[in-house]
Amino acid sequence: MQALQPSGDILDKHMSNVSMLIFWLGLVALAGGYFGFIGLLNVVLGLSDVALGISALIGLAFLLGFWLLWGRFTNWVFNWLATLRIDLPTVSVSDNPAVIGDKVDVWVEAPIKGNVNIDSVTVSLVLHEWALLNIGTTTDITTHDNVIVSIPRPGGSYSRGNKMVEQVTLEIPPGNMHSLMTSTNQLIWQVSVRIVVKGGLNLAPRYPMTVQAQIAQTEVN
Amino acid sequence: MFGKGARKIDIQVSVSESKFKPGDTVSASVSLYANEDVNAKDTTVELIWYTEGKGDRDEGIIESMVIHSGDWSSGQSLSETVGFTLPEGPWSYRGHFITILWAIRVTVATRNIFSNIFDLKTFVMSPYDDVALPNPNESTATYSEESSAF
Repeated sequence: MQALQPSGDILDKHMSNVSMLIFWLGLVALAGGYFGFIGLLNVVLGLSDVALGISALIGLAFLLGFWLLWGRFTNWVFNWLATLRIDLPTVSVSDNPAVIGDKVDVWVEAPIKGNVNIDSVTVSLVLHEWALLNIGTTTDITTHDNVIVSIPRPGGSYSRGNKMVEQVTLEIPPGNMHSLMTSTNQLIWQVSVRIVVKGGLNLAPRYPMTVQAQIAQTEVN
Repeated sequence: MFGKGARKIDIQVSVSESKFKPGDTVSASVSLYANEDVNAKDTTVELIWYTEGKGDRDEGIIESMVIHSGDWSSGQSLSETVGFTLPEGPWSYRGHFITILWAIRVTVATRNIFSNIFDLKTFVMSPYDDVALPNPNESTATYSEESSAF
């Protein structure tokens, strides 16, 4: 049994979008507020061009710092809220690296930190495509999830101090592709765990694993 | 990376099969005919894999063989048969945003890399009867996203 490490966002897609929206709204509001204030000062006091230029530079530096910190802060707040009652699950698999055709046993364990009602737990095997494109100074990242198999399980009511435990078996189907890691094109096999929490933020962490360019012996005729 | 440019040299590449498995030997027949004098360095035959799709192109040169060194004279021709052993991977793959292809590439390297003359012949390299697919049974759901890193 091998433990997998979570990677990337732990919130589900919709909540990540909300987090990103709050991030940009905060940034735009701050920029608008600051430059509005400088504009008002200019109208009232009649600032010189030099003073206006320095104010603009200070504002841009401040916004840059805010941009870096605010992104981390909103992410931290949402992650903290999401793991308030249920901790980030630990995921272990029977085979890592695995090969094509393997039936991989997956154990999911999440410590319960506060009384919680869980609507459902869905464990999925995903082949995640990640492609990076450099265009001048811009970097575009494109991703696509091929959901290979998805096993939904009913949730339940859990009390603080308990553990939510799920065990599923996921097959890496023959005909499929192995992992690929290059600097600009990646095929990443992931175990995805989506926990839908009644009245709370849903958790959807991903756990990368490796699938080698081999076929399980039992699949060879 | 390369430009085919005007056909100063005609290149023909053919491989013995269209599908191979890891560990197989790819036999390739290569013919070149110079239509005019070409100042060249090496002429090579390579076993390569490369990506196509949304991302920047990745390429792996598995094996390379020089079949001619130096300039080509008008009317000069060359025919060679070469063999390469395929590695374990990566397998040919056709995904949503990423495609992996295998090929035999013949390149006449000129003094200017942008004037290199090349041709290639693609084939399938996979343990299956066809390329590997993310959804071989076409019964699975997909979700995609595009974003810009800042």
